[in-house]
Amino acid sequence: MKRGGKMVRTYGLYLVLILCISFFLPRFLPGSPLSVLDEATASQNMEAFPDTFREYYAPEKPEAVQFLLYLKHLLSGDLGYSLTGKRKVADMIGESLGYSLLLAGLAMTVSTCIGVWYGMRAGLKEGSSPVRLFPLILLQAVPVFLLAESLRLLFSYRLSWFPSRGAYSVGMHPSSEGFLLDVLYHMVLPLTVMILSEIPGIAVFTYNSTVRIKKQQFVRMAVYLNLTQNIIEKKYFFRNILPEILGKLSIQSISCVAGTMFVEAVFAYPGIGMLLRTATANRDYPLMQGILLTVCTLALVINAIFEFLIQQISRR
Amino acid sequence: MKKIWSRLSAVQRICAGICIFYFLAAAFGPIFSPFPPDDFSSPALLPPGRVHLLGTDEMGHDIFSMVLSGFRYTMLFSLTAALGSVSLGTVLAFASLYFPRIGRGINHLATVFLIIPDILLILFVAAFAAPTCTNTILSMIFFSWPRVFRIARSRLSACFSSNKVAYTMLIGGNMWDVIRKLWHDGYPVIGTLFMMQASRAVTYETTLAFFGLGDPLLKTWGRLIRSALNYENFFYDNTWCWYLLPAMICVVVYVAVLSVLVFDEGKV
Repeated sequence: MKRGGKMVRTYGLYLVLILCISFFLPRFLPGSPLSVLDEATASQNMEAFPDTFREYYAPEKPEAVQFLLYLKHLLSGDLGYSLTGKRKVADMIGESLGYSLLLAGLAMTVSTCIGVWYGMRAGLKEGSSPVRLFPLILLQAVPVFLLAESLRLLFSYRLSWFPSRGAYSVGMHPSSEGFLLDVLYHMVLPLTVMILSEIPGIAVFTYNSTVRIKKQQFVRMAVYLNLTQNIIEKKYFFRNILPEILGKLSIQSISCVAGTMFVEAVFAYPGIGMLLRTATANRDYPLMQGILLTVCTLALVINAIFEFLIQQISRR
Repeated sequence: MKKIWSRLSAVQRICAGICIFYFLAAAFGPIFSPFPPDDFSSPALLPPGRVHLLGTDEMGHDIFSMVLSGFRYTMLFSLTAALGSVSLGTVLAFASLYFPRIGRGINHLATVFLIIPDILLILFVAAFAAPTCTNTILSMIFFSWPRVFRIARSRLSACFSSNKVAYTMLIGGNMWDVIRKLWHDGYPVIGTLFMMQASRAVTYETTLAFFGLGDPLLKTWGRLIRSALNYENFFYDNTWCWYLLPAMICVVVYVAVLSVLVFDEGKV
């Protein structure tokens, strides 16, 4: 219970830090409309923004009041009004979050299974050399959006096997028949890109962990005792590398979320990535800040879940 | 230098050679470029030929010259960002171990930055702030030092508990004595971190360019890739072969080579 209390306090601190970052970052960047470093040009730029923007941020009030106002807005779930979408930011993000989580969650699950299996197999082979992993390293070196665009070029446009944009065909909505199949069909390409970009990290890490354990004495002891390969794998390798893999997975999930956003931006998949693309293209500050806060909080939650899992497993 | 070279495996030698090639191309490349990279007076969308080795883009820039100028910017971004973040990270790692009280605070701060995806913060900064090269590099340094901090701290803390450092602190050695003792065990990790950060910096820059952020005037590979992807007939004809592929290959090879060099430390 004490350890749980400590974890809650630590994550509470992290949440506060994230809120501070989200609040202070626009105010300390040169050239930002909310900048406190350059008040004259900032207030000049503010004239161009609509009243909702000025009401939400209240730049004329002192900083401490602004921060309290910001916290008050957040507690009531108000993330401001989007300049481009002309709707509440919270609504826009709420609609898109589901698709992003679907894509990221599925990608993470599948790539973990494949990555761990492949990494362990590569590590367990006799005379394993890092050369075996070169294709994975090469794959990891390709920026994820480039991978997305290349696959889109090949499979959507040249071969016409899969649709090139959106989560469902134009005109379909959740109650039309065949909607689920349509969604799955549209999800194939983005999901494949995500899986391809996540596998190398996990596989290489699993390989390194497996190789490290292989050198340990107790493994050689198990081999001398003629235990079957299966038991060795399960009991000795897997159980030992599991906490490390969970640690790697928690970091990898975050980069998976970030990668999902880029893939969505490429495929015009209606998730947070698509919102981010329109927001950065049009400098939609409230939307960008809302996305930043949402993704950071999501990352914190994911990390907390994984940390809890690691603690549970390490306790045994 | 010869000692280092002889210790590397064949694969590492190839990778090191490629890195040296990139560095030389950055230093001397623009001497060989047939046109200045900003010059867009050539006819647009020419396929590769004798005058334009990689053809021209839709505005009339010579693609080969732009790829060559990209070497310089890539080196600039990756080296300065890597230098800045590695210095900051290792100094903070040492400080957090030598002064344990502020060490906990720095550790928490670094953990927060590690939990949130740094590319998002860099994107955010690039969108909010004035789009200059300096701002991009500063934001890369500022948001990627936690990774260096975490790895350097774990390596240094193992060294800190070693006998010779404990002895130094026991007989009242000051900070510089401890640094001297740590340096011998610690400097390999700095090299690894430097290469890791260099490859990440290039990935960041390419992603920023993809979103249309960052300095629009610099002809980096990221910008070249972006304008290749924005080209209206990108999906329909074969222009991408000479427009997208050269820059893409340059970026991928650079990042892959650095990753392979880093790989043997087991920290990929």
